[in-house]
Amino acid sequence: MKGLSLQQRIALLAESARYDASCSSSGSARGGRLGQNLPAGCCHSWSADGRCISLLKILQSNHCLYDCAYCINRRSNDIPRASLTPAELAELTVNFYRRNYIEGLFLSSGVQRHPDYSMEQMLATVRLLRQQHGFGGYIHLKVVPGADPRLVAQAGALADRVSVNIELPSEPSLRLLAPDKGRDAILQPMRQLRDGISACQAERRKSAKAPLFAPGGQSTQLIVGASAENDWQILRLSEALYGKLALKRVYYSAFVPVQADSRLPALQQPPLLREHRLYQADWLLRFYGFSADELLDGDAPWFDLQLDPKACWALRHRDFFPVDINRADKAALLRVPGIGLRSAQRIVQARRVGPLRLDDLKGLGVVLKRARYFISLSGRCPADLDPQSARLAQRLLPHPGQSPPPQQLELFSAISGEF
Amino acid sequence: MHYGYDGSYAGLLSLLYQLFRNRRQPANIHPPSAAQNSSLFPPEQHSCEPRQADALLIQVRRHLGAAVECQLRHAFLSRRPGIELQLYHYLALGWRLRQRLDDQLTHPAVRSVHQAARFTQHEVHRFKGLLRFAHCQLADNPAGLYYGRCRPDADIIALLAPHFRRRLAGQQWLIEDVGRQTAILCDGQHWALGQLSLQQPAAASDEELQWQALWRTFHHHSAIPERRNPRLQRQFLPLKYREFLCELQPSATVEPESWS
Repeated sequence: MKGLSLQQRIALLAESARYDASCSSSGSARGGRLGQNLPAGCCHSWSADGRCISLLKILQSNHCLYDCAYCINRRSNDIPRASLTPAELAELTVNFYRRNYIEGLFLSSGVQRHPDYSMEQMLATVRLLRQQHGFGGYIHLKVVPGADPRLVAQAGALADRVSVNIELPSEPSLRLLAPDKGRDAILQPMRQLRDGISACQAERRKSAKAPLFAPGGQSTQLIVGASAENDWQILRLSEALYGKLALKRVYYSAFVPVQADSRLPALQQPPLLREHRLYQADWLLRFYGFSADELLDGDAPWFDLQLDPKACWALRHRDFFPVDINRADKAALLRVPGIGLRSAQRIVQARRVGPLRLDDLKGLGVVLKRARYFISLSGRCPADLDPQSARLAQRLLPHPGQSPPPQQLELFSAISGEF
Repeated sequence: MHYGYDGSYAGLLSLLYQLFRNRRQPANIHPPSAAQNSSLFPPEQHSCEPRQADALLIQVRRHLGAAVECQLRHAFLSRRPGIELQLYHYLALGWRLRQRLDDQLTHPAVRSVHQAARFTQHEVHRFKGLLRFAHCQLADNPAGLYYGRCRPDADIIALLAPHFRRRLAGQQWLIEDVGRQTAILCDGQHWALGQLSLQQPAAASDEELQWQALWRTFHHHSAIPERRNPRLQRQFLPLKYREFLCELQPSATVEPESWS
């Protein structure tokens, strides 16, 4: 840390933090002497990789005791090491916030000396912000696996969102690639946070003055492509995390090799398209009423890279179609490729005043190029192919010569980064 | 018949009040700048009558609902050409349908107004994130002023003001719409909208330039080189919105000195 200027340390610690995918600032309406959250979240800029910047995503320190194979900050990686003091970080956050560069702070840290020590450093920063600067903006705080439960509780009390990264989707992979982290060290704080959040929600239903505990919920991240798990295993894990641990979000991060290691696959390119498919499926789980086993199964455990998961499901379940736009309930509409949450909502609203025609659908936001094969309007199908046709899959594929398939998550709404 | 108004929201509302009251159907409604061009049909000019504007809004709230009032204002602020006549048709339909007006998503009069309102709301949300303040010293005020410039398509600064007043409580700021030469000044509690002309360009302090340099450093280093994707970046952040973003100015240097 000696000799490095503040600017150099920010550069280093931003690089060390950038492999964390989460950047949402939604779910909290906290306010303070300085700052007021937007419950929908807000993006402030976009970096050269096309990912949004909404929070000052930075590490307190990139010194780390652990030697996780996938991580840029692993002990055996020869990079310069640096730290920021709580006072420096608080000052930086407040000044960026006053200039409207950011929506708040996303603070994480390498494991210095002991998980508790790192946790205390981060808590000191957040306490300084909340108490001294009266900062009411968004704070996303990372919980270091293995930290004392009392510190985890303090994190929940001060932050808007908390997260513990699972990183590797199974225990064998964890043992192989992150030998210093145990499965229980990760799951224990997640359970504690879940209980804290639900207790707080119950309290606040009784009294609006009850203290906040992580109002933006908790999230986690899985690295995709560093270990051998297939998409089905990952998606089932996500489903369990949403169901049993009541997570707000699971993020997927395409593995970027930062250092050669015999335990890691030799990838030419980060598996961005696979990451994109997982996010699409994640949306189907959370908002469209699909289950993991509907989208994939033991016989077909991988996503089709050519076609999105919803279209694949539709092609496997052709007897479900055509769906009658003027009669079907919202859940059935949501299963049609080309109809999203917003267009389904609009269809339900607009058909109250009269039956819809094909021309109306476009104005409601339906992507007819895909939807037309799967719908009927007052008993008539608008397409020349019916859902049973063998040529249908061909029609849905992107045409050769057209723009390449999206390489990265575009499902995120450009407005808020999150619904 | 062609009608002209003074270009303000209250001006349009009072004209609409007159039209509905006298059961007139306009062929077109012209804002001041466009009216001068169409000399073939000189528009009948209406002056702004705030009490009539209020009377119309009361009727809208009572019979059509508060949501329609919101749609009206946001659609007007989109400042799209022709929006005035669209608002007339929207309201004319509304007097027939009453509370069920906004369910008519497929009716052209409703759709065009909803689209315009959505355009404004979208841009407001965008600029809640994209507006950048720079701290400027003032001769007569030691605390200085946070000065933010923008060039939005819709007329949104009045919609941004409540957000920044809450968020930056106690902070003095000025938001300028460079294209329309209007600005909002806030003393930390109250804000006011008006025309702005600067006698000399506002100068940023050295400290301000340092914070900008730190932000540029952070911005540059938070991108993952293996995922570089300028097309995607442009999709989310079109070039027209980058004019006042200090982190994306091409001249800016971002590399801190080497630490070897």
